Amino acid sequence: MSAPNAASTKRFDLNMLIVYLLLVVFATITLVPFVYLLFSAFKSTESFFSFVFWPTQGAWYDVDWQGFTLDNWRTLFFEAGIVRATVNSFFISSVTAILATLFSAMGGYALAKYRFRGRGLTTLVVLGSLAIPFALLIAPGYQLLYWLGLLDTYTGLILPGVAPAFGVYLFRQAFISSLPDALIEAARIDGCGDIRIFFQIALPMVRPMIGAFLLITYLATWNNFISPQIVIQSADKLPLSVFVAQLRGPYSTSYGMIMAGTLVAITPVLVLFLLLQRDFIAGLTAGAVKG
Amino acid sequence: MAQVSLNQLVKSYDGKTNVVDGIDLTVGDGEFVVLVGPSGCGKSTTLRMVAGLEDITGGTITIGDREVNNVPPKDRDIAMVFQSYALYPHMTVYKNMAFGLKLRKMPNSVIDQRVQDAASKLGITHLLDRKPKALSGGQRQRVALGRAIVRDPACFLFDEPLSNLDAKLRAQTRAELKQLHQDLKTTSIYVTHDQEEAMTLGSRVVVMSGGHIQQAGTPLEVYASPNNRFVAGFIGMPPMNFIDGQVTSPDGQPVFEGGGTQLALNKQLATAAQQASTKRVVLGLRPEHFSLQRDASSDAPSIELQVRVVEPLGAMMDVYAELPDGQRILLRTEAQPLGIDRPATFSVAIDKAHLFEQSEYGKNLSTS
Amino acid sequence: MSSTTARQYPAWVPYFFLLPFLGVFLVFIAYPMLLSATMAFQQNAGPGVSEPVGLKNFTWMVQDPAFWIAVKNTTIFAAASVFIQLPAALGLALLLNSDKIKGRGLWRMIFFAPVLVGLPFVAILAGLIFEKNTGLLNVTLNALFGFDQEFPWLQEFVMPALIVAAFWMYVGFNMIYFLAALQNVNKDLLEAAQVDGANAWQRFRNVTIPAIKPVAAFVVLLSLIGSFQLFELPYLMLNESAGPENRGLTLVMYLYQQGFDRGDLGYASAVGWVLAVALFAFAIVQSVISKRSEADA
Repeated sequence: MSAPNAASTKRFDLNMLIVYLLLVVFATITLVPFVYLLFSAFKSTESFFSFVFWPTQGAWYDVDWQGFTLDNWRTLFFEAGIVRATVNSFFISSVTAILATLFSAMGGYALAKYRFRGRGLTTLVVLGSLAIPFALLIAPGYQLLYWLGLLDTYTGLILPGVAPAFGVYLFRQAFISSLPDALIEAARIDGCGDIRIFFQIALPMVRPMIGAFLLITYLATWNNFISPQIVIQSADKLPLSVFVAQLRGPYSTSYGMIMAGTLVAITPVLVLFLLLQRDFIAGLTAGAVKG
Repeated sequence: MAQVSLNQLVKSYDGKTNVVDGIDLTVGDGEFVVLVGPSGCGKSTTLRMVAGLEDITGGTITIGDREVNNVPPKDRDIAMVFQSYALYPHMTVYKNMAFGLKLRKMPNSVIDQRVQDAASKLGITHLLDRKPKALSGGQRQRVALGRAIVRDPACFLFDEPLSNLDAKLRAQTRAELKQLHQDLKTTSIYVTHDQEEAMTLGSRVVVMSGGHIQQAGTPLEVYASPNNRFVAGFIGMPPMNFIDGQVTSPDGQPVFEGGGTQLALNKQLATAAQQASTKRVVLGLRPEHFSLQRDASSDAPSIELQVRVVEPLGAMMDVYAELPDGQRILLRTEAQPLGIDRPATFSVAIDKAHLFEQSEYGKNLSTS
Repeated sequence: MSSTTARQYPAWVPYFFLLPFLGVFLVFIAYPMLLSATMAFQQNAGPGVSEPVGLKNFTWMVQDPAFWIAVKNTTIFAAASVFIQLPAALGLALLLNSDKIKGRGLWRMIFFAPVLVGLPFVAILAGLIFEKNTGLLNVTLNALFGFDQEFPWLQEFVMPALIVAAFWMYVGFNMIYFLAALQNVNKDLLEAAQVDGANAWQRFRNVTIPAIKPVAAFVVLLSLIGSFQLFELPYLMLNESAGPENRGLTLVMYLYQQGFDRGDLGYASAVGWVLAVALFAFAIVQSVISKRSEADA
């Protein structure tokens, strides 16, 4: 490579400047709604309508501290019952994510590492299921839950999602690419039974996929609106997604409270996922790069 | 420790072609038997059937005095060393070695004793707390050996255990493996595609091809008296030269005609040639059975070749030379000056030559 | 593929591992699909009452102007996702792909954050941001550019508002896929092209584009599937409605209204099948196109 001369260095810097400028503009657009959300959650209805960000008395730097309030939070926690909804969301998401990961891993393991009658057919079913749109299952699924008496129960909300074909497919790929047959055979010769092989030998080999899939399923369940909207009827069983949306009903005047509710709903996952973003992104892109 | 017997062993995946086609083999107690052959010859499948990792299509396998056809791998009292070592990556070396014993519910003190013994025997005591990822290829290989040793099984099974090592380490580990077997005297079945490994390790070498045993014998037997052309070509490095031709006796003296030249035969080979079903035969000459003829009056049979390429190896040299009809053959002789693209006369150790029938598995006429 | 065989383990073992998947699949996927195939030819008044109506659900559908509004809106949204949002995502990925960019992880985290908020919460937030007069967007645009502060996003310009909101939420998410693909482009190939004298555009055209094509095809398909099932964003942004004159009505919202507001699950099933067939068709067309372009390459 030739040493860059002065002129090209200068032009290069200009390019980078433009790149950074674009990134800053994009990042600002991305972040401003978060800032808006944060301020709104602590504003009274009056200052919500008067000020976009923080309430002021004239100049922008002259912050009017009187415009901030904790009333939104007080109502939310002590009257509206967001604690219950949060616990519900944690429960539904955790159970769904853990079961979906376990059952997907089990199914994927069977398809990747065993030869048995019906393996080809089952693999086809898994691949075919990937193409079934969720919308097609909404109406008949509701009908089925009605017949089974599972409407307004967590079983009816959670059970249909605990063994997703998508997960079985991802784990099948993961086991094929990162669990050598010889390892299973060595364990068999060592005297390991099949269930123990799965938990002690096979699962540790796909640990990254386990992490990623847990996160994906957790996020998807946490942010699922339509299923609980259809299945759950009792107010005290609602997860945050439906709960926050319903704040606009009886409490519709309080925009600040809606924003506070949204903040409560998104903060846990936001923190969790930003901490674990590496695993999460690996999981998201696994399907794309390999599939 | 035990004897392992394979009786009319057959393996077929599709029900039509047999990957292993009726093998009879008895591995004596404490014997070290090497199955060797090109890839796809059925050697690994045979080993995996002994391990219980493949179903047996036909025949029986006996370990000790127990038929094990329907015995799961864990109850066969065998231990296996895999080509990829198959170490559990999330367990330490210690746990890798102890895993099989733990599953057999041995007391911890016994497990510890055995692991420590095996580790010191293999010189890996300092590695016991590490995970496989932190080990070199050679160290992993030792751990895999250790995992087999602690089990103290009736039989060791080795599936190409050295093929992931570099050449130098492979030679070194080969010697250690031999030492280990001399110490433990455990019955061992060892699979490799490398004939040199087979010759150096095996107390008996079993040459396989096409799902059949072509020959079983001591390393020297399979080298000096190959049953057929396949074994002759497979065992020995560099490989034997084969020259198509026929045996005639124009003036009462038996002569091999082929490659555009003639070579006087000894009586034994002449007699052998008469047993051939056809006139056409193949003459097999090992590269090391040529030598540069210095004295033209020598009465050893000799052959004139056009020298093309010379590769010095130190004390020896490899000579690529052409027969009069242009066929290239390889000779290995003592190193000495030789003109390139010039003719040279080589004498042939005709006592060590073989005559084969003309096919891939053509019978060795000279040994029968 | 494994070659383990029956003798090593009891024959029930693989079925045991597959049992949860097969059970859930049969009860909650396969059976509802069959059920919906029959329900599509029924009319319901709530989940308990049904009556066969033959093909009438479909004839009603094509005669219902609302259905066609939903088709139009959904198509516009899908087109905007593929032709506006995805190119922007690729552009963003290209900006971040350079080795010289400092703090790539931080930028990526920022752009990725909106998708974590989740559709329902983005919709609720967007509902406030797009308010005329007091909403963040109009106030900001007014302050910066003197834009009409009364601009009626949620009343008359629902589709643009939806597209902007979805853009904000998903552009960084799709960028992740493109970025992963770009990082996988063979550096040797790029350098070889450089040595061969290809300029930056030629290298992009001849090395980068072919290398990221499979991922691009995947992202397009994902976008289409998502777009055609758009529901939460308009539904919650427009306060659990389709907006004035159905300006924010999408196909799934139409399905939802018919099935749950009107209680006709049969009709909703028929809508579901129309949607599914459309998506299958997309998937097939898309795979044919990507196969053909692969054959050309």
